[in-house]
Order: sequence, then C-alpha cells, then structure tokens
Amino acid sequence: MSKYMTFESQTFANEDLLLEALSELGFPTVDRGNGLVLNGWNSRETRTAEIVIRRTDVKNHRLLGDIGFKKTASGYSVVIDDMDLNYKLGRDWVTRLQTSYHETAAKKMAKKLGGTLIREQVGKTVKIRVRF
Amino acid sequence: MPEIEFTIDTETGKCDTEIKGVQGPVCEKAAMHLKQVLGSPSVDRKTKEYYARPHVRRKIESK
Repeated sequence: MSKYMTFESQTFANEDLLLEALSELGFPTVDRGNGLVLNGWNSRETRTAEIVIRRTDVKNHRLLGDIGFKKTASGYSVVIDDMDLNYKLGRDWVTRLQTSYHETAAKKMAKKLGGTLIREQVGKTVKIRVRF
Repeated sequence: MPEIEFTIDTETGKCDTEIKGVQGPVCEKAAMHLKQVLGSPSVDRKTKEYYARPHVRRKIESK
C-alpha cells in the first residue's frame, strides 16, 4: 500500500457522479439550475437547490416534497423532507446514495486508468479493486 | 500489478481507498485522478511503500 485516503461524502463533490448514482438508484430525471425552488415544502420556509428531483417524477414513492441537492463549497448536500426519508424512501436512502456514488467513482477510475474492475461483497462491505 | 482498492461500508456510506503497488510520483498521479473524481478526502496519508526506493544493483563488467 502506498497511499490511503478516506472519503466520507456527506456532501457529493462530483456532479456527474451524483447524477449517475441517482440514476442507478432509480432517479434518472432531475432539474438543474440556480436556486430552483423545492415544491411541497412549507411556503414560510422556502428551500432552493441546484439539482432537484421533482416529486412528480418519482412514481413509485408518493413523496411529500421535492428532493434537492444544494451546492456548497465542498459539493452538493441533500435537502430532503424528514417524513419522506422516514416513511417513503427509507432512513438509509442517503447512505445508499453514498454507496452508489462511490461504486460509480470506482467504475469511473477504472475507465480513466484503462484498468479492470473486480467487485465483491462480504456482509455489509463492498470491496472493489481497480487494477491498472 | 498496481491497483486501487475501494472499501465501501454500506452501513455508513464511507469509502476507504488504498493505492497499492506504486511508489512516489506514479502513486501521486493516481491519487490526483482519485481526488478529481471524488473530491478532497477526510483522511490522506502516505504509507511506507510510498517512500520506498527501487533497489538498483550495480553491475560492473570487466573487459
């Protein structure tokens, strides 16, 4: 081993990876723009984001509000209704998105380095080796 | 063979990466690609292997 790095991804640094990860999770349609208003939220606390999944585009969950990704200095952070997270999508939704995001990153690295990818899952751990 | 190993904890979403089998600048280049894709890591450390120098044997031939 010559270098070791840890990525937490509470925020999603790479927009392309985030969009691919969302698509993998079954959310292929998003709106993109500056300060898009999220629908379904209390009008007294209007929320905005730069990437938005419209609740009307999510057919298999009847979401109460749009899901947003707000651009910050370190990447995109999730803006999501607690009720949707707890009762519609599942409390682990953001974690599943993070996992999908990191798997997409590994695929992208394999492509970038012209390498091969080996994936294995042992229990709750996914191990991906990119050989180049 | 050089490789990058991603270890993803599906309970927390945390991802550890290790670049193996490459030293010095080549490793740094792979790390740079990784940071371009994933952004800044919360932990970033070099390991012993990073500093290892290739062992060169000098061969002296007599005429």
